[in-house]
Amino acid sequence: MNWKFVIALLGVVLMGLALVGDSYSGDSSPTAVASKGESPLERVEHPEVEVGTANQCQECHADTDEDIVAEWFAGKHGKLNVMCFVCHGSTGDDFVVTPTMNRCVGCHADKVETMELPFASGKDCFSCHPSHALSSHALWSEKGWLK
Amino acid sequence: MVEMSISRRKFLMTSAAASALLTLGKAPDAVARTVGDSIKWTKGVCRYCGTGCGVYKGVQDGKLVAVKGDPKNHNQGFLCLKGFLLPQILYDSRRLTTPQIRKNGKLVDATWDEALDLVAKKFTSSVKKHGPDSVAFYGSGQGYTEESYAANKLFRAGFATNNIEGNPRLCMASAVGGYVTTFGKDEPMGCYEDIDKADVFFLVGSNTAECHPIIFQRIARRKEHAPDTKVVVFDPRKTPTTRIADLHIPFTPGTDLAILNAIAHLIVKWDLVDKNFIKKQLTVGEGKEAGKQWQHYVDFLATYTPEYAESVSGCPKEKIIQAAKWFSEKGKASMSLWTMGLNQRIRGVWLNNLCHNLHLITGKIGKPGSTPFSLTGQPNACGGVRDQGGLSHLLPYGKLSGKPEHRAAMEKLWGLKPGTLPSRPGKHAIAMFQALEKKEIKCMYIMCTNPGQTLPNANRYRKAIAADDVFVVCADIYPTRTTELADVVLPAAVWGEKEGVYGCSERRYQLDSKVVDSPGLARPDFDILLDLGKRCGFGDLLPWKNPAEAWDEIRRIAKDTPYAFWGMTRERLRKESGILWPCPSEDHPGTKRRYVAGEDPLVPADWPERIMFYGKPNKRAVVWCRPQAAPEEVPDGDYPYFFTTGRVIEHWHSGTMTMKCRELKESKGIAELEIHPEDAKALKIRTGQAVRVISRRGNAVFPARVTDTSPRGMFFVHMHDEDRLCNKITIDAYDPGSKQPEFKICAVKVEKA
Repeated sequence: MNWKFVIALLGVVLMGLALVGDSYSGDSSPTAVASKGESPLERVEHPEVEVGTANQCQECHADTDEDIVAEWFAGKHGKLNVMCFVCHGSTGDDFVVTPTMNRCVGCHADKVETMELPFASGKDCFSCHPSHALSSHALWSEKGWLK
Repeated sequence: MVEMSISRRKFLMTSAAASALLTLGKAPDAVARTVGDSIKWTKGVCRYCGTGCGVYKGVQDGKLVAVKGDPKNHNQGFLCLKGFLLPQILYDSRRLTTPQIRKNGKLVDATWDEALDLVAKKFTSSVKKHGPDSVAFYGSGQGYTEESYAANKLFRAGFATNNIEGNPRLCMASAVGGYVTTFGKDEPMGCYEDIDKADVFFLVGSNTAECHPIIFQRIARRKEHAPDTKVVVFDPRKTPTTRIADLHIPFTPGTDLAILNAIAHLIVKWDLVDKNFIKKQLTVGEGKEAGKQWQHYVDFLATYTPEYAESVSGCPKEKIIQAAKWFSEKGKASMSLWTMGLNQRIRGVWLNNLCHNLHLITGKIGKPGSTPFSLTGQPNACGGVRDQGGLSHLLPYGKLSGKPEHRAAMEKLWGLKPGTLPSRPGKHAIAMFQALEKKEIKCMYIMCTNPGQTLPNANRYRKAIAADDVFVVCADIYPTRTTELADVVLPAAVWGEKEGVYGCSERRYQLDSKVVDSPGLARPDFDILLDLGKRCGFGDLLPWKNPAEAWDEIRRIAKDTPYAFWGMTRERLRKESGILWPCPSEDHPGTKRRYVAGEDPLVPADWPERIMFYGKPNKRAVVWCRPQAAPEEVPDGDYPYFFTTGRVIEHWHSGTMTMKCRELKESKGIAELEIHPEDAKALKIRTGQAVRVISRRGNAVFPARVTDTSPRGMFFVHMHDEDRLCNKITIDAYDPGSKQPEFKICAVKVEKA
C-alpha cells in the first residue's frame, strides 16, 4: 500500500470539503476553534500523592500503566517530550482521564478546526489517532525513524 | 534506569484506591486551560526560550486563558509544553502588585511616587557624590527591545556611565565573541529553515530536546523526511537529545576542544577541504596571530590525531572518525548547533571558533542546510541585548563604547553634545557585582532577571547585593531570590500585559502583544524606566509616548548599520509573523542567509564570490588555531567529582514563571542530583537520599537520583530550583575574551546530608 498516495488523496478530499463546508469560513487565521468536548465527562480524580517533587508522571505510571507509557514513549509525543500533563492536566481539579480536543488546540489548531467538517461528525481527534501512540494515520509507525 | 523513590512508592499504594474516586459531571478542564468559541486570539511571541515561537494568545472575559501556536511562524503552529501552559504565569496569587521599600530590614508597601522618588534621589545623588560609575544597570535577555533601549539610553546618555550590562553575559557572550572573532559581526548567518535542508547535524553542548524543544522537533522532522540524515550529539551526559542521535560523543568535561580539532585534523588529512573557498574567502589568524598561512593551521592540527583526542577526552576514536566522515562528506549539507555547553566555559569563545572552523574549511557555510548556528537561551538576548547594545562594551547596533568614532556617531544619532557619552569602560557582569561588593558601585537597577539565584558563586554575590550600604532596585513580576535582597522592589507587568519586540536566535524580530491589563499597580518596565528618567531629569532623552514610538527611533538608529531593519515598521510586525534582518526597506522580505551574494542586501551586486564576509576589513572569515585548554577547576583529591548544571524541559531559568504552573511544578519541581550507579554504589547513596554537594565556594543539598544519564565521576543538577541554589556551588571564573563564567564545570565532593 502506498501510504503517501493515500494521505495525498485524503488531503485533496479534505480540501474539497473545506471549500464547500458552510460551517467553515475558510479563513486561514486561527480564530474559530471547535468547542467540542465541553460536555461533562466521566472523570477519575487523581489519587492524592506527594507532588512538587523531582518525579515525572510517567515514572510512576510506568508501573501502573505500563502499556500506556510504552505507547506514549514510542509515539511522537513521547519522542518530543510532550508529557502526560499537557493532555491530562495536573493532579488537581483540572485532571482528566480523557482529554478534550481543547488540549490539542495548542499545537494542532488547524486540525481541530477541521473537526467542524461533516466527515468528523460524532468524532474527536482520538477516533483516528489512537491514544497514547497518537500515530498519524499509521504513517508514523511505519517509518521507524527513531530508535 | 532510575531507582524507585519514596514518593513513587506512595503513589503506587494510593493509586490502588483511585477507582473509588470515580465522579461524574465535573467540568473537564479548569477555565485557565480551556479553549472555546468565545475566545479572542491575538498574535504574539512565546515568553520562554530563544527559539522565539510564534503564538496566539487567547482572551476570554478579560483573562488570558489559552495559548496556541502560530501556523505562519517558523514553529508552524507547534509549541512546547511550557509555551502551551503560559497563561498560568499571569495569575499566581504571589504576583507583585505594589511597589515596596525596605524599612528596618522589611519590605513594606509604598506608592509609585514614594518608590521612584527614592530611586531617583539615590541614583542622582550617588552620581553627584561618587561619579557616574557609582551607578549601574543589570538587565535581561527577556526585556523587550524598547525596554532595554530605554535603559541603555538612560544610563549611557543620562547618567553617563557604561555600567550597563545584562544576563546575556552569562549565556551568550561567548557566542558573540565567536561570531565577532571569526566573522567580524555578531549573530548567526543561517536560519531555522536550514534545518530542513541539512543532511548532518552536530549538536554540540546542546540538550536541544529539553532546552529548544521546537528546534529539536524540526530536526526530528528532517530525519523523518530524510531517513539518511545523521545526528551527532556531543555531550558528557546521555540527555534526551541523544534519543534521535545516530552517534553520541561522550567525553570528559572540558576536553571538547581536542575533539573538534581532531575532526578538523581528519578533514584536512582526508583532503576534504574546500580549497577554492579557503584561498578566496578565508584567512588564518588575526590581530596578534595575523599573517599566518594555511600551512600554519595544518601544522597546528598535527597534534590532534584521533588517538590524541581519545587520550585527552576518553571518547573512543572510532566515534570521532565517524563524526568527521559524516560532517565532511562532499555534497552533504552540515549544520552545527550549540548553546550553553560551549558558551558557559572559560574557553567559550575558542569553542565557538572551533565550530566555525569546521564549516569554513569545508566550505559548508552559507548554503541551504550548511551553517554554524548558535542557539539562544532567552527570547530577546539577541534582539534586545546583543543587537541593541545592552552590554557594557557595546553601543547600539554594532558600535563599541570604547571607540571614540562610534561614540561620536552615537552622540549625533541621539542629538547629544559631543563628549556626552562616557569613554570610561563599563563593567561586565561578574566585575559589576564585584564592584558592588567593593562598594565602588553604590546603586544598581536590576530589571527582569534574578542574579540572586543565577550568578555563579552565588553566596558571594548574594552578600554583595544584600549589603546595607548599597542600594539595589529590582523590578520583577514575582518575589524572587533577588527581590528578597533588594532595597526597592518594583512590580512589573508580565508577558501578555505589555507590548514590545523580541528578536530570537535566527535574527527574526517579531512583535509581542498586550492582551490584558496588569493587576494592582504593576506597570510595564518601559513605563517605569520613562517615569524614572523624568524624575532624574532625563525626560528629554526618553520622549516617547509608547513603545511604538521608541521602535521608530530604534529603526532609525540601526538604519545605516549591518542590522538594517528600517523595513520592519510597527505595522508590518503587527501583521507578519516575524522578519529576519537585514530588512532595509518596507518592501524587503527579510534575509534568510546573511553574507550570501544574492540573498543579503548588504552584499554589493557585483561581488564576485559566493559569500562576502563584510564584517572583516579584508572580507575574509578567520580560521583560528585554538588549542585544547583545561577548565578552571578540575577534580582532585579533595574535590574528586565534576559538577555541572543545566536545564529540564519543564522549567526555565530560575523558575520564577514555570514554577507557577501547577503541571510544571509537579514535574521536576525539585532539583535532584544525578549520580551514576557506580558512583552511587561507591558512595552508598540511594535515590531519594539527601546529599550535600560541596565546592570550594559553597554547598547545597539535593535529593539523589541514581541514573546513568550522567557519566561516572560527574554530577548534574538542574538550575531551576530556587530552594536549592546550585549556583552556591558553581565557579565564577570567566572566559578572558567574552567574560562569560564557567557555569558548566567545577569540582565538588559530596556527603550524605
